[in-house]
Parts: sequence; C-alpha cells; structure tokens
Amino acid sequence: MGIFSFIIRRLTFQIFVLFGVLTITFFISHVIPGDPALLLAGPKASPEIIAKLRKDLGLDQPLFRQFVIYVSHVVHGDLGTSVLTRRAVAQDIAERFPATFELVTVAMFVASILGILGGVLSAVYKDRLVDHFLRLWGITGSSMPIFWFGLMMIYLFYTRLGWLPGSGRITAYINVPQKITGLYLIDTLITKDFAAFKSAFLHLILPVAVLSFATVSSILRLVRACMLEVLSQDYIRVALAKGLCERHVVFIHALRNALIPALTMLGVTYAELLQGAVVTESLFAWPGMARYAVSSMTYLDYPAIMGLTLISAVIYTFMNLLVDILYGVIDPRIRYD
Amino acid sequence: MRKWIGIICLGLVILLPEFLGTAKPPVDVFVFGSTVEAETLDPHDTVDNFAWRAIYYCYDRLVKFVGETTEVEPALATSWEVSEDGRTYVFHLRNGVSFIDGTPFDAHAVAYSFKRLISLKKPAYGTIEGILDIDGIEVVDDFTIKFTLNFPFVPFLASLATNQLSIVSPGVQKYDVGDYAAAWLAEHSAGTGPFYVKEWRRGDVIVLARNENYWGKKPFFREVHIRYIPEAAVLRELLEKGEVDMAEVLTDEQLDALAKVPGIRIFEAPSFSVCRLYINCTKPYLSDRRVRQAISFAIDYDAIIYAVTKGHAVQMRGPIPIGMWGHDPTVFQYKRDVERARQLLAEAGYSGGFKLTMLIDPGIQAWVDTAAIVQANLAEIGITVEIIGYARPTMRAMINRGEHELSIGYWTPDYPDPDMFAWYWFYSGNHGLAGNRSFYTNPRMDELAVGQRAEPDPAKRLEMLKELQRIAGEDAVYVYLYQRTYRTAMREWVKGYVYNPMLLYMPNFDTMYKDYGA
Repeated sequence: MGIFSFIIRRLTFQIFVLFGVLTITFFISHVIPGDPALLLAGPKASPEIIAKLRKDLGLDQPLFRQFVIYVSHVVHGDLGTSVLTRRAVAQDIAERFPATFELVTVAMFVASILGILGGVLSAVYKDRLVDHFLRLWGITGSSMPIFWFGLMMIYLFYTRLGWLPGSGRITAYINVPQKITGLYLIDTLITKDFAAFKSAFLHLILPVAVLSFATVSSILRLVRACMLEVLSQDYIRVALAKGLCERHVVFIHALRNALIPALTMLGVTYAELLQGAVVTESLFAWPGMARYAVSSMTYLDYPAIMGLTLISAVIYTFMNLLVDILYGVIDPRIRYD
Repeated sequence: MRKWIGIICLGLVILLPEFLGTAKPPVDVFVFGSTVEAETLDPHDTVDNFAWRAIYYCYDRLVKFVGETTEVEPALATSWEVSEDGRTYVFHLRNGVSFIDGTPFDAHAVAYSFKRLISLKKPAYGTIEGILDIDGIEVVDDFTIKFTLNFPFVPFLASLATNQLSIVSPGVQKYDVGDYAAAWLAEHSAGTGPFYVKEWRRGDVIVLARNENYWGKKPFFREVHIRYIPEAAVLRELLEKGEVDMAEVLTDEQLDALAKVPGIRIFEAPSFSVCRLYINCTKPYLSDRRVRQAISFAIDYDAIIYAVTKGHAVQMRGPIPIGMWGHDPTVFQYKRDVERARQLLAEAGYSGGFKLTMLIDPGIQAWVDTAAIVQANLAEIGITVEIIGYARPTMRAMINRGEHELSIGYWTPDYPDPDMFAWYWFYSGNHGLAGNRSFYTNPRMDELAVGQRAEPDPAKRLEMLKELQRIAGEDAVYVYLYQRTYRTAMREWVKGYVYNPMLLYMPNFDTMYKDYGA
C-alpha cells in the first residue's frame, strides 16, 4: 500500500477520533458543577443579570440541545465565542498559537540536536569523562524544577548581567512585525525588519534555553541507552571490522536504528508542549496558549475549553501521523499498512 | 570541528556587545506591569478593576472624582440641578468636545450611552439597575439631558463618576451587529478621554496612546503600556531593573523586599476593600444569633490579619469601612474573647459543640490561611469546622444557592457610598451573590437598607445608617474581618501619583509624569 492511501486512511479515521474527543470533553466539562455566568456576572450579581448572561451563553438550553448546537457550529468552522474575552475562540487561538509554536519549535529543534548529539557522544565515550559530564547534565535537567531554573536564569542574565530581556516576545517600543505567518523570526526576515528580528531573537534565547534544558536531558538519556544497545550488535562490529570509518558507522548505521524510540518521544513531547508550555510561558510572560488554557479552565469558559481540546486533539493525531511517516523514512523496513 | 568552534566564539565576541543590554523605557512612555490581564475593554460590560485600569482614562464621565477624595466635580457635564424630591437630575453638557472617532459629543451621545448600558444588561449595569430605566432618559436640547430616577437614589451623582457610566461614542453603531457593538468595544475604545486603546497584543501588552485632541489638560505620557507579566517574581525583577515603572499585584513579601531597594517607592494607604466571613443564617445552629455572636467572639482577628496580610490591614469596625462617609466610629467591635464565646454558646444550648463546614476556593492562599485559623479558633469553643474547597465557579454557584454554612469573600464598593454595604449586604432581596451572602432577613434592616438610599437629608440618613450598623453588629450577620491596606510599588522617578480609594488599581495615568533626573 502506498504512503498516500495510508495518509488518507489515517486522516479519515482522525475525524472519528476528533468527534469522540469532542463528545467526551463536552459532557465532562458541562456536568462539572459550576456556572460560568455566575463568575462573569461579577461580585455583585443580580439574578436578572445572571439570567440574561445564561441566556446569552445558551446555558438555559437542555444539555443535549447545547451539544447539537455546538457540533453544528463546529462543522461550519465556528468554535463559538469565549465567555471571558468575548471574542471568537478561533480568533483567540489563532492569535496565541503562533507564539507557542515559535517558542516550542525552536526549543524542540535545539533540544533534538543537543539531545541526540549528547546521547551519541555519551554512548560512544561510555564511562569516560564526557559520558560522566553528559549524564550529570541528564540527571540535573530532569530533576531540576523548571520554575526555579527559569527564575535563576532570569535573575542571572536579566537582572544581574543585563544581557538578555527577561520577559515578553518582542520589545514593546517597536512595532509588531506585520502578520504573515505569525512567527516573528520569519515575519521580520520577510519584511527585512532587522531591528525587530534582533529583538525577537533575543527574547527567544532565555525561554528556549529553559524549555529545551529539561527536554534535552530526557532525549539524551534515551538516545544514550538505545545507542549502547545498538553499538553492541554484531552488524556494528562487522561494519567496523571491515574497515568503515567510525564516524560513518556511528551516525549512519547505529544512530538510524537508535532513533526510532527517540522519535516517538520527540513527537509526543512536541505535541504536548504545543498546547502551551505552561511554566515557561508564565515565567517569561510569553503570550502563548498556556495562559489562555489555564484561565479558560479556571473560569469554566466552555467554548474556549472545547476549542483548545479540539486543537490539541488535532495536534496530537497529526503528530502521531507525522511520526509514523518518519519511521518509514528512518527505517525503510517499516511498511505503511 | 575546532575551527568551527573558534569561528562561533569569535562571532559571539564581536556580536555580543552589540546585542547586550536592556532598555529603560522612553521618558514619555509609562510602563505598568500587572500580574492580571484584562478580559474585555467594554466599559458597559466589565466590573473588573483590571479592565477598568486600561479604559478608565480612555473615557470621560459626566462627573469625576476630585483628586484623592470621593467628592465629584464637573467633567463632561459643566453643571447640574437636582430636584427637591431627589428624583430628577438635569445636566448641562460641555460644548465643543469630540469622541476619539470624530463624533461630536452632545446630549444624544449621553442618551445613547446610557441606553446602551441599560439594554446590554451586562454586569456593569448593576450600578443603575432598578434605579434608572430607558424611559427616565430625556434629551432636553443638544446640550442638556434629564434623568428621572425610579426613586430618589442618593448615591446617584457619585455613581456617575465610576467606570460603568463611561460615555461611549454613538459612532460605535457602525460596528453594531445586533450586539450594541459589544464585540468591537471588547478590544477598542470610543471615548472622549485623554487616552485611547491603540493596540492590544493579547497576553502581552495593552498600548494606550495620548488623545492629541483631548479637551482637558493633555497628559504627559505619549503612550501607556500595560504589560501582562503573569509571574509576580519576574515582575519584581522588571521593576528593580527599571523596565517597568509601576507594578501590581505583588505579594506582601515582595513588597517588603522591594521597600529596601533604592530607587523604588512603596505607596501605602487604607482602602475600602474588605474581607468578611459569611454566616448562612438559614442553616441550623447559625440561625441563632447567639451562635453567630459566639463565632464573632471566638475569631482571632489579629492573627488572621498578621498571617494573611503581614499586618497590612486593619480590623473592620462594623460593616461600613473606616474612612467612608457614614461609618460609625462608636459601633461595637468584636474582639477575641473565648470565655464570652463559650458562654454564649452555652446560653444557646450548644455547650457540647457541633460541626460546621467552611467553603473556600483553595486557589486563593489567603482564604486557605484564614480558614485554617478560623478552624483552630472555633475548635476552642467546641465547634468542629470542616474546610471544603471548590474551584471558583463552583464555589460561587454554591454561595448563590445558599448551600454554604461558613464562607469567605472580598468586597470592594463600585461607587463611594455606604449604600454599597448597607443595602447590598443586609437587604433581604439581595440573598446570594447579589451581596447578602449570609441570607439574612430582618424587616427592620430591610426598612433601613432601602430607606437610607432614598433619604436626601444627610443628617437623617446618618441616623439610619447608625442604627443599621448597630443591628449588623448585634445580630453578628457577618464576621467583619479586615479592611485591606492598598500597597503598590513604583520607581521613584514616577511623579504626581494620586491615590483615590475609589479608583483601586487605576493609577492616574492622565496626570502622572516621569523625571529620570530625579
């Protein structure tokens, strides 16, 4: 079976998955006791205003009817209006997603390179000084609270040394880049606005460092373990014995086989972070998905919760599909059927 | 490999100095850091101080507060007359003022704005709900407007200075999609004020720009940036570094630490924001006044104030905050007296004690701490308190339905008048979230609560308020915990800051300035 029919089959299946996720989330979020109208009505809410708000939000309808209305809107591409921001949920998400996407993608890129390289080095130089150092890094990274680490980084590089900006996505005194992709790094390059590019780049350094630090260590440890296993295989010994250059054997023969588990983990971590890297985004006042998600849950903002769930389900299923396709690229023995 | 590392290092050494360093904001840009973000900017919708902060100076109102007082002076209205019976208000309006969208300001604009507030029926409407209806608004001529109230409502004039009664341009009707332009006004401004909303980068910053055609004194600042910094610890660093000129809301520990940093000023003043315990009078045991009194005697007020606010609060004396007109400084104040509490409980026939629940939102640390102290205090007189925590939406729903026994909450007045306490807290028509959260019913108190808001003679009104405060204490309707001190941190180069207790979290962006030489 060809790769295209594989993709089409998976995408069709996804629709059912998404519908399932939608149904479950809708009913769970709506049966939780609590009433967003009461929160919205402010501290001194009169019964009349509460009733009006409930009507505006459609909460006076029977639950099942609310669900039917919701689904019919979603099918028409309308995710509803956020209770909190009084704006279209789709618009809210569209505005915040690029920020999270940019941060997480750069961090994942850095983390993958460092993690894989570190893992390989650590395995190749097993029990040597490099290995000890990298393993120490691995343990530190996965055991250090990210909140504390982030604060320390801000304290050092922003407060004490004054080298890097400590919060935000771009300095407030220059105009926001014209929105093309929503990714500042790319938009500023397209519009040749180098001052804005520099600002956006500088603002990325600390959050990327903090976010990738924890991810690096888990990738590093996984790649190391897999590499150690692969390196002890007979075919590696054969390759070395027949005189192939060591770098070639390590990076082409061994790494390809060791990468499969790392790829799965990268895919899941990436998908997870794309929904909002809560701690990092809060620390660095990064205008991404995380704060939106947190506030929508605190305030039982149903349309926003549903919209966010739908988006994360799409991201997850899409990422899984991508990982499955990449399996085949890395390991040609894997067939799409 | 070595060569590449060398090149990268060399590049860093050359580029770093170019890159390094963070900028102090320009002197005519004011940067305000806040740990809370506004949700919507529609003045006729929101009752959230953090949203008001962004829009209060984008709009004007008929009247405004004078400096740091709760008195009002002319703003968009130049003068006014009130009828003998206190029901009719006639306002003469300012000539030659335009809204930021170019629409001229006149009586029709005022009428449109009030009708919009009333028709929207959003939370902000609560301020004039039942007091002024659409029929009561009459345009006399282009620059005269007349309001006829449903009953004489004494605090009406003062309530006109609040954010809810901001005058919105009728020009917004072009964005009206059957919602009175609510969607558009949620993220834009359309007022006559000294600033306007230039841009809102969600989750990041709200940029206010100076209204160059402002009819009054032009502000010093070209722009005001209200930055959203979710982590208080980081906000503190930004303030220390001078990247932020003023910061809210920081914790008491952070403010104490900042007070020692040179170049930073901590401003401190009493506020009208109070904290009270709700005692549901419809529940068993609690319906007995002696039990409520016993609880009021058992609470260790000083311990709560110390634990929760690090001493930056004063114990309330009766329901009306100290410093507000109508407060009775001679009213009885409960102090911790465990013996007396035990005795009262015994008189009520509950010397063996009983069990109660206390409902809180565990997300609010101050409430968790308070609940723990209340639990310990009441245990001493034999009342076992079980603390139950629910997320805010659930907690509010339960309070609205009266399912709580004990609970806790803050209250900040919307307009500078004891009515915000007297009527809201004790009138039996306000059971639930509306304000009477102890579900207290007393016909005499109803008479007083309703009567005082319609009494035009201040001396008579004061008598009524005194009686109301006395009964409120005797009946121990709430545990009147504390009145918070308002604290905020700013750089010393910020000048001209004026604190008005009615404009909590809304610093006077329009008249402040910065002096970096200082």
